[in-house]
Order: sequence, then structure tokens, then C-alpha cells
Amino acid sequence: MVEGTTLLILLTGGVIFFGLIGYLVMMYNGLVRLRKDINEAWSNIDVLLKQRSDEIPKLVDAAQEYMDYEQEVMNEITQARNKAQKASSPQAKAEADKQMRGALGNFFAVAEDYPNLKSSEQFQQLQQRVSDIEDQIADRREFYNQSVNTYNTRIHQIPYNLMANMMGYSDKELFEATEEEKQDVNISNQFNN
Amino acid sequence: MSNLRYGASAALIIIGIASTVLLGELPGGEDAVENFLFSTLVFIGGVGLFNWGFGRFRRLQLVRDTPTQKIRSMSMGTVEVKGDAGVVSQKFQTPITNTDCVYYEYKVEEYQSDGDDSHWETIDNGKTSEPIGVDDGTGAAVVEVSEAEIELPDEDYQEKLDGGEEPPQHIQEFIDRNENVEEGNNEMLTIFDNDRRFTEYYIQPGDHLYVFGYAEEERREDGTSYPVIKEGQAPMFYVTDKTEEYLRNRWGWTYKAMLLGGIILIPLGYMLMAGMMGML
Repeated sequence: MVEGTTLLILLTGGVIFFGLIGYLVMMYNGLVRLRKDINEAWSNIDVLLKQRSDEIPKLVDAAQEYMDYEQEVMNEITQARNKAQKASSPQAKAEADKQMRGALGNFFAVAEDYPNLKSSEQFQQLQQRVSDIEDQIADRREFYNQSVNTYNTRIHQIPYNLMANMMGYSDKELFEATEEEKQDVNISNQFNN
Repeated sequence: MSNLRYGASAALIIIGIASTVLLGELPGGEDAVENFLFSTLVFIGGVGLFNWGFGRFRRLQLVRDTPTQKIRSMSMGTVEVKGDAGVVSQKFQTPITNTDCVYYEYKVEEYQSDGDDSHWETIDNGKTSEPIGVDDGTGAAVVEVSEAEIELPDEDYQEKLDGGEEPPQHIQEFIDRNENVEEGNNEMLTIFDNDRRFTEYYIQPGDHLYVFGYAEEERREDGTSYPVIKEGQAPMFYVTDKTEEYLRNRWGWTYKAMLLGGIILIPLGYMLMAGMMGML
């Protein structure tokens, strides 16, 4: 026969112990899921950046015939595309994205001076397609950055920071251009025709 | 993870009960078995609460850690969206009050009293299963509510009739009609002997919706596609008319209360079982 008090203490201790194990497992799984969500969110942005990049040559081809003398604008957009294709880290891609948005804004602003181009059905479709992709990129950028902020905050909170240190987790980069890049061109006026 | 949790709970219950049955001996007496079963229920209840508490904690984690997506750029996979409810295939009218809605649940309960045991028993219930729409201003998606756990915590309509009281016209018409219902029995009399309670929960067009589920693209016959939120591979498929803040507050304290309840009841239940079996 077991003494009642001893049994009660052992049982309560056992339940708390297994509860703590369960809590630690859920903490671990939660951190793993946060990290996985960030990777997935990043892939979803990357897909759109590539789609936009694929549309650029078609846009340039459609406009070439009409905007023959606007080589500077054409070159700007082609250079922005090349930079975007070479970028790998989130910050590099964010800077390339900002440059691309500026180049597209200038491109569409100049296209306003060519009514024949503007009335071209092909050009209108491409312009709409790029505009739709830009909206989606903006949404997914916001989603990605929210995911990163949640993760970066969590790995510094007690008690998650202890587990994060053991797992070797460190801060993730936001999809955000640097302060210098942010002082650049005002895109909204140029891009919203 | 859910399977592991349920498996561990089942194992704990089996081990707990088996250990007392195998190591102890039930004394004689009329109430011995009843008392032992009561203590077993306390023990099982404690394990259930503990399990449930972890389930609520997991839900809280999912809701807290998943940012809301805009429907126009929603990626396929696990998503959280918020928006206004809308019609997809058809609007409904709730069966009792004839209110226009896109989704409803109803139940009819009767108050049954048998000596010391009195309770409300559900004698008829039903709900719709047609998909509904959610629109967040950037786009719209279809929500397969038939697969979802739908929680509408506040009843939109409830009316209680005393036994012998003649029902109002809309309830009389409901009793006569009672069609377009997916599940439930109809065993009601026009004048009831016992107290009856009629309740409706519904989602109207324009009501706020919180949806957590799995987004996929489905194709129409003409080749165009539209987003659908269903159960899929999401860790949960949940729809409610409450806000995310409400869910986080509620699940935030319920998981702690359940875990605490489990920590108290599991040892208490086991001690009672052990005591009944003469092990203490």
C-alpha cells in the first residue's frame, strides 16, 4: 500500500512533468512551422517576381516599334530586370524590386505620350497584367514581412529564445529596401495611370 | 500531432485504470462499483481536459502565428482570411424566423424532468451545407462549409415556450413545414406537454467572417479558375463570425483553465480509483 500523500505528490508531479514535455514539443513545432511559413511566403513572392520579369521582354517588344527614341527608358527597365534576376537575398531582391517599380513607373509615364501604343490591345493587356502582378507582389510582401516579424519577435521572447538558441535559429531578413533606396522616386504617381 | 496527443491520452487512461484494477481489489458493497466508476470518470475527465487544453493551445498558436492574407493574392495552402459573407449558389431562409441568410443552424429542445435529473434535450436540429462566399474587398473565395468546424457562439434567435402554451404563428408554420433540412427528426406536437426552446444561428450576407483553412484553385467548365477554401491539408478548418481578437482571448484563457483542470483531476481521479481499490 502506498501512502496517499506520496502518491498524490508523485502523480501531480508526473502530470506536470508530462505537461511540460508536451508544451516543449509544441513550442518546438511552433518555431519550425513559423520558419516553414516564412520559406513558403518567400517562394510565393519569388514566383510573382519571376512572372513580372517574364512579362518585361514582351512589354519592351510591344513598345519598341512606337518608342524607338526612348532608349533611356528601355534600357532602364532592361537593367532593372537584369538586376532582379541576379539578386538572391530578400534585401537584394527588395532593392531590385524597388528599382523595377521605378523603371516601370517611368516606362508607363513615357508611354502616355504615344497614343498609338496606348490604344494597342496587346500593350493594354500587358500593362494590366503587370499592374495585377504588382498588386499581388505588394500583398505578398506585406504577408512575408508580417511572417518574418512574428518569427523574429518569437525567437527573442522567453521561453522561446532558449529553444531557438538550441536550434540555431536567428533573425530572418525582411523584404524591404534600405533607407537610402526608400528616399528615391515617388512611384505611386507614375504608376497609377 | 493530434494523433500523438490522442494516442498518449488513450494510453494514459488504459494504464491508469489497468494499474488500479490489476494491483487493487474492489471491496464488496452495493455502491463499490458505482463509486469506482465515478472515480474512473473523474480520471478520464481529467485526461480529456488535459488533451483538450493542448488542442486549444495549438489552435491559439495557429491563429496567432498566421498572418491574414488578401484573397486577390492568396497563395494555395494553409490560409487565414477575413471578410464579409456572401452568396455563392443560393440564399436561404432560416426555418423558424424566415430570415435571409447564407448559412443557418437550428435546434429544437425539450425540457425533460425525471425526479432529480432535469435537462434540455435536443429533439430536432438541422443546418445547411451549401458553400458560402467570403469577400475581403480585394477578391472573393468560396468556403466549403460542409467540411468546416463552424462556430457561431451567440444565438441569433431563441424563443422558449412553456408546456401547454400555444406556439406563435411562425413556430406553428415551422412545425408544419420543416423542409430543406439536412439532418434531424421531426417528432413535435402542435401543443407541447413540456417546455420547448427554439434556437437559430445564422450567417447573413455582409456578416463578418473569419476563415482558417486550405486554399485551392478549382476550374470551371469554361477554363477560368476561382479560389476555394476547404479542409485539405490545413491543421484546422474553422469558420466563425467572431473576430480574431475574440478567438485569441477566448482560447488564451481556456487552454490554461483546461490544463489546470487536468492537472487537478488526473491525480485526484487516480487517487479516488486507488482508494476504491484499497491501494491506499
